[in-house]
Amino acid sequence: MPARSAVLLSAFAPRLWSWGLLGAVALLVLAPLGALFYGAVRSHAPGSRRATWTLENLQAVYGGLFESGWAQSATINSITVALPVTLIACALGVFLAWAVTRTDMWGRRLFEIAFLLPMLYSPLVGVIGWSVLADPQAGLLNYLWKAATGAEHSLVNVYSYTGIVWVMVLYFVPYAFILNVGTFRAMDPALEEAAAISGANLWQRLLKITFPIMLGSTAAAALFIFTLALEQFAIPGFLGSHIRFDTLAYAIYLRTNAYPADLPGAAAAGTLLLVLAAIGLYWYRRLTRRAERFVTVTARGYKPALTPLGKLRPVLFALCVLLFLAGVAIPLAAVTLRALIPVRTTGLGLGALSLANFSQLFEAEDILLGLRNSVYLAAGAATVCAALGLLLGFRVVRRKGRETAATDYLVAMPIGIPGTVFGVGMLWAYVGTPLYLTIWILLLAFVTRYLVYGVRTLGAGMMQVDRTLEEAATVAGASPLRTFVFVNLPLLRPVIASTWLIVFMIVMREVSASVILYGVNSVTLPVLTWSYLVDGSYGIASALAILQMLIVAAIVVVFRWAFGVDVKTRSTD
Amino acid sequence: MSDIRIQGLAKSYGEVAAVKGIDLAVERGEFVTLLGPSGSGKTTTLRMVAGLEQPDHGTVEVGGTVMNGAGVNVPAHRRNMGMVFQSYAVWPHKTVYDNVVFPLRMKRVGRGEQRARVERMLAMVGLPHEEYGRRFPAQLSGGQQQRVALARALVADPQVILYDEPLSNLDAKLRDSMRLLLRSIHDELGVTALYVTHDQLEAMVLSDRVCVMNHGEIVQQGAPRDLYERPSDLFVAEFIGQANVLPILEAHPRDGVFQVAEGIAIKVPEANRRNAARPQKLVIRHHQIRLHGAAAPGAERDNIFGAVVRHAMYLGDRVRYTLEITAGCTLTAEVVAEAGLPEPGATVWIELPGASCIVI
Repeated sequence: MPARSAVLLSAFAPRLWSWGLLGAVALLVLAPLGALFYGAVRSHAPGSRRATWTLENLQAVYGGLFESGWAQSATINSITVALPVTLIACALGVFLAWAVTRTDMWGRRLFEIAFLLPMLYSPLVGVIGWSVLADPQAGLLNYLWKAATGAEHSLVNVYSYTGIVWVMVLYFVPYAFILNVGTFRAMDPALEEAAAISGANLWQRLLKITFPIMLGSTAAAALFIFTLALEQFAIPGFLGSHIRFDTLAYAIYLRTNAYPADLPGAAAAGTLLLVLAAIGLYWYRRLTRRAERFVTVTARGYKPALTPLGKLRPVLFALCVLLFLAGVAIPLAAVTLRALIPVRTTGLGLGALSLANFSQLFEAEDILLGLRNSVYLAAGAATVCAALGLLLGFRVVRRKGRETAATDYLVAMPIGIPGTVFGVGMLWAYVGTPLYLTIWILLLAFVTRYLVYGVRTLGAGMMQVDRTLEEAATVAGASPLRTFVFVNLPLLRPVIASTWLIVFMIVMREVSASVILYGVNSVTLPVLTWSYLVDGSYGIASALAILQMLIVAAIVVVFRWAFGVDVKTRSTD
Repeated sequence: MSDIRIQGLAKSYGEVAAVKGIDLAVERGEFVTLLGPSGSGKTTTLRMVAGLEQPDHGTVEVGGTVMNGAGVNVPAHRRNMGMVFQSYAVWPHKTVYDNVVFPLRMKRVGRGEQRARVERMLAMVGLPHEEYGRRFPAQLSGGQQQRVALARALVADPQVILYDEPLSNLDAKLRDSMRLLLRSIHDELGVTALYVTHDQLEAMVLSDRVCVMNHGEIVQQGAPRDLYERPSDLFVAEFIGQANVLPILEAHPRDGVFQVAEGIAIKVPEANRRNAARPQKLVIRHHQIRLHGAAAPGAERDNIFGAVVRHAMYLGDRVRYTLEITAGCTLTAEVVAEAGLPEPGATVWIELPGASCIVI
C-alpha cells in the first residue's frame, strides 16, 4: 500500500505543482484588481471606522460622464489626446518602418538604432526637454525667437493641447516604428513582385497589395498605442496641469495625492479608465486573432530588392533627420543643457554652465535614497521576474494543460491595466499590511505587473530549445533537475539576460504606479524627477533624468558585452 | 523563331559575380529549364528576365521586343509575363478568385471576359471556381496555393511564363502530381516557359531542353537525354545522375586507350572523347557497367576486367555493387535485381562498354 500511494503521489505531484502555481499567480494578479472594485464601492479609505458600502463614487464617475464636471472633461480630454496621438504616431511609424526596411535611403541601419534610443529613457525626458525649449516665458525657442525678431509674443507654448499632443507623438513614434518594422520584415517581397509581374505599377502595388496586407497589423499596433496613450500619465499630467487640462490618469493621481486623499474616488475613476483600456485591448486581440489573413509565408533568404527612391532619396533622408532631431536629439540636448545650468535663468551665458546640479545630487539625502531604492527595485524585480518567469514559462510551454493555460492568461492581465489604476488597486489591496509605504509594495507591484515579460520571453525561448535535447540528457541518465541546470539553463542564458534587462529598464523609468505607491522612505529616481519637476526645479530634474539614462545605458553596454544581448524591447509602460 | 533571346547577360552583387555573361535562346512554345546548385546564378538570371533585377550588362529580348539593352529597362509590370514563386506569393488578403483575376484587372479586361477566363484557368489547375473561388489562401493547402499561383500566372495570356523553383516547398508526393500538371498545362497552352530548379529529376521530366548552370555560367545545354548520356563537362556528369569518375593516368589518343589504374586500360570510341587535347577523367554511369558472372565472355570484346565483389547493397529493384578491379581502383555498378547474382567476396568479370564511357 505505501508503494502504491507513492506512485499515486508522484503521478499527481507535477499537476499539484501546476495548480499551486496557478493559485499563487491568481492571488498575486487578482488582489489589486479585486481591491480596485472593492474600493470603488466603499465610502472611506480602508481602516476608517465610518467606511460603509456605497454606490456614490461610481455614480459620481459614471453618472458624471453625462453632465459637465471633472469626470466628463477628463474622459473627453483623455480621448481627444489619445486619438490624434495614435494616428500621427502610427503614420510616422509606418513611414519610418517602410523607409528603413524597404527603400534604398541613406543610413537606414543607423536610423533603425537611432529611433530606438527613446526606449532607454523615461517619458519625463521629453517633458523636461520641451518645457525647457517651449515654455511660454522662459523657453529657449521663444527666447531665441524674441531675440531674433524683436517680437513681444512667444512663438510656441508647450503648455497647451497642441504641446501635449506634440510631445506625446514624439514619445510614441518609436513604439509605432517597432510594432510595424517586424511586419515589413516578415512580409515576403515576392507578394509585391507577383503584383509587378501581374502588371501593377508602384502605386497600384502599394495601394492594392502592400497596404491592405499591412492593414491588419498596423491597425492592431494603432489600438495598442491608443491604449498606451490613453493611460499615459507623466506627459499630459505635467504639461496639462499648467492649464487645468486633466486626463483620467492624472485625475486619478490627483485624488490619491490630495489632502485628505480620496481613495474611493480614485478607485471609481480607475474602473472607468480600466474599462476604456479594456475596450481597446479587446479589439486589439480580435484583430490579432484574425491575423492569418495577414500573415505571410516567409520566403527563403532571398535578399529583397529595395525600392529605388531616385529623386525622393534626399527628401526621405531629410524627413528622417528632422524626425530624429525633434524626437531625440533636440529634447536630449535641451535636458543636458538645463542640467548644466544651476539656477533658472533666461540668459544663455556659457560661463554659467557647471556641474553644480550633479554634485548636488550626491549631497542630498533623498536623492541618494531614491537612487539606491531605484537600483534595488529594478535589479530585484528583474531577478524575481526572470526566476519566476523561468519556472512558470517552463511549465506553460512544457506541460500543456488547463491550469498552465490559465496561468499564462492571468500573468498577462496586469499589463493591460493602466499604471495609475494598477497603483490604486495595489494601494487598496495592501494598505492594511506592513508592506504599505515601504519599498516592498513597490517590488510586489513591479513583479506583478512585469512578470508577463519573464513568462512570455522565457517561454518563447524555451520553445526554441528542442525537446529532444532534454530527452537526450534524460536518456543519458540525468535527473530532471540536472537536465534543467546543465542543458536548459546554459541554452537560455541570453534569453534570461534579455528578460532581466527589459524589466530592469522599465522599472528604472516607471512613474505612473510608483507615484501613487511611494512613501517617504521608498522614493525612486523617476518619482523624484517628477516631484522636482512639479516643484519647478528643472535643473535637478534634468540631472536626475540624465543620471537615470546613464545607469540604464551602462547596464545595456555591460549586457551587450557579457551576453551579446541587444535592445529590442516591446515594452509597455 | 526565338521567344526569349538573352545575350551577354551579367550581374554582380558587390564583388561577387552572380551571372557571368550568359547567352540563351528559347524557342516559341519551348520549355527550358535552368538547372544548377544554389549560388549558380539561375534565379538571378530568371529575375533579370522578369525585370525584378537589373542586369549590369547584356540584353534581354522577349517576343522581339528589347526589354533590357542599351538605355532600355522595361519595368516588370510592363513585360506581360507570368511568374510562379517558390513561396507561392498568393496574396493572403484576397480570395482565390480575386488573386487570379488581378492580372486581368490590371490589363482592363471586360468584366464578363474576366470571369470566364478565371473560371477556365481555375478548372484547368483543378480548383473549380464553385468550390474554391471564394476561399482565402489561409484555408488552402500548400499545393492548392501553388495551383492558385499557377492560374494567376497564366490567366492573362503572358508572352512567357517564369517558374522560380515552384515545387521545392511541396512534399515529395505532391511534387509528383504538380510536375504532371505543369507539363500537361504546358502541352495544352504552349506558353514559352523558363523554369529554374536545383532538382535534376524535375528538370528531366518537365523540360524540352535543360541548361546546366554553375558559377554563373551555362556549362552545357541540351535535351535531358543528351545531358545524361553525353555530358561534355565533369560538373554535368556528376550533377546529373550518378557516375563513376576515374582519373586518367596515361592517355594514348591514337589507339583510343586510356589508363585509369595500374594495368587497367580502357578503350573509348572517338565519338565519346570530349577533351581530346588534355583528357583528365573517364566517366561511366553506375547502371552501364555489365556483370558477366564467373564465366569469361568472348575474347573479341574490349574492356573486360576481373573484379572482386566488396559490397552488395540490395535496393529492392536493383542491387548496387562495389567492385574492386585492382588495388585502389573500385567502381560502383547497379544491376537489375534477379536470381543468381554474385555475393560479396565472389570474383566476377565485368565489362565497361566503350560506347558508355566518356572521356572528359
